[in-house]
Amino acid sequence: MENILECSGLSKSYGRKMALNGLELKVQRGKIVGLLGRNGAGKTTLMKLIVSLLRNYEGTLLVDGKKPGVETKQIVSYLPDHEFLYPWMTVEECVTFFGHAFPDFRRDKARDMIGSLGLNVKDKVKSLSKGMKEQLSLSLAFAREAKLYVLDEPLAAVDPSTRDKIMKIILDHFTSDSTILVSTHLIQGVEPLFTDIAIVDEGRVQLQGTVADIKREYGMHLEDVFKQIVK
Amino acid sequence: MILVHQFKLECRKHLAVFGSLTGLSALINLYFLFSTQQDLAFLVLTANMVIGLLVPLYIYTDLYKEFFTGVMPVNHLLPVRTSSLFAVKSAVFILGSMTVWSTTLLEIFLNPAGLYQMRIEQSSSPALGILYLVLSKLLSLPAGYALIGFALAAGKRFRKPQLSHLCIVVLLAGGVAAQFTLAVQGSWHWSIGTSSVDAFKQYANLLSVTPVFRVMQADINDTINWLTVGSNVLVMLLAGSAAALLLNGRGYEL
Repeated sequence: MENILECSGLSKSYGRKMALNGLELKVQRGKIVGLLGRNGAGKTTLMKLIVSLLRNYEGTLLVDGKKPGVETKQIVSYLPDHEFLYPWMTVEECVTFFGHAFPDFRRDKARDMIGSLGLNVKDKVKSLSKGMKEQLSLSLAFAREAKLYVLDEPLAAVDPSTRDKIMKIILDHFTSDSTILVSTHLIQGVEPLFTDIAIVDEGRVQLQGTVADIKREYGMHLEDVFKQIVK
Repeated sequence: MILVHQFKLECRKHLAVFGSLTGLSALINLYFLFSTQQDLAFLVLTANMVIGLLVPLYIYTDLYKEFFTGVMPVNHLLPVRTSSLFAVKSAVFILGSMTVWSTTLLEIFLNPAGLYQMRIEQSSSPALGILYLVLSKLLSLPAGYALIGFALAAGKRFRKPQLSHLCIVVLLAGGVAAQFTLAVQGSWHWSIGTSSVDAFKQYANLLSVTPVFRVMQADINDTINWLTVGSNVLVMLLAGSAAALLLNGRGYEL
């Protein structure tokens, strides 16, 4: 199967600190891949490189066969790990903004998702709770018909109920044409979300494979595998 | 199309600030025009000067947040070059700055003791004087934003914040100082951020300078200094090209 993402010998440093250290990762199309790792393992750095917010790296990084840049931004939908919407915009204005910004954005789909979450389109972003903002951001990210969805810690710092809603959004909008890369340091309870996982530690992928294969091989839950790999 | 919508978005984002400053400046200049209380003139001139300082300060802060600290990464996810984002913002700021500045024309043209009726109208070529008045201001703005863009993008090359900020200060201060030297050459003394009917105001980047000569020129057109306009064009081209290269390059990271 063709790879949507290929990293080979990928290294990135911040001064003397190596964030990625010869990372090897191949992600096939039509998968939901969990990028598991502790805080500071290099997950966010990898994601920022994929979406071209970080540009200076060594090694090979290909998104749909191309180096990250203006062209790949058209096919990658990114959800950062922090608030990134204009706080003064209303929910509806966010939809309009994304509609103008990304040619693959489907406004009807966004409105349906937002409606099903019970968000009022007239509410300003700044008036929403953290969980609501997270769900709005995720809805906007998934309203794009992107080839690759890159979600940085969408499950962190939200209550269990919101986490379930977010997982449902991800699963509902997964199609075989797209690939979803989700970073998380929380493993308990999110296992059913992934078809594949890659455990990242010290800037490298320490283990990669399908969830079924890994569980079969190790004979334990992902969380226990993670604890065994990342000591 | 993305850039057109981005332009509209930026216009909306900055409308309140530029609208307020334009309104305030218009009120001040109208008051000055019709008021017979000349003792308030100093206050009015000071208010004009403060507005003249607030506009570039506001613009610098916004560009710094967007292109240096990257507090609003949503714009950087758009499938457009970073230099295009910068150009769109600059275009909006040029429009906003010119709108605020246009209110000062009330005093220049309508006041019987103002620059136009006192000097430009009697000059060898009033059309040339008006052209210089507008063109010198208009071209100083893209030069200013290009230099800011260059300084911010160059500052991003350093990992240590102290070095980054030092780089920004050196490039901005150095660029403006070089242009300032050109603007004040030949003058007896000068003042920053003021205006007079003695001579045309010069622009050293975003800094406005009024040169004063020992002997007042009979024809105000003799105080036209195309070198300052030329230096702004040069800075716009050089700093603009350098900023575009740096902003689109691998070394620019948020």
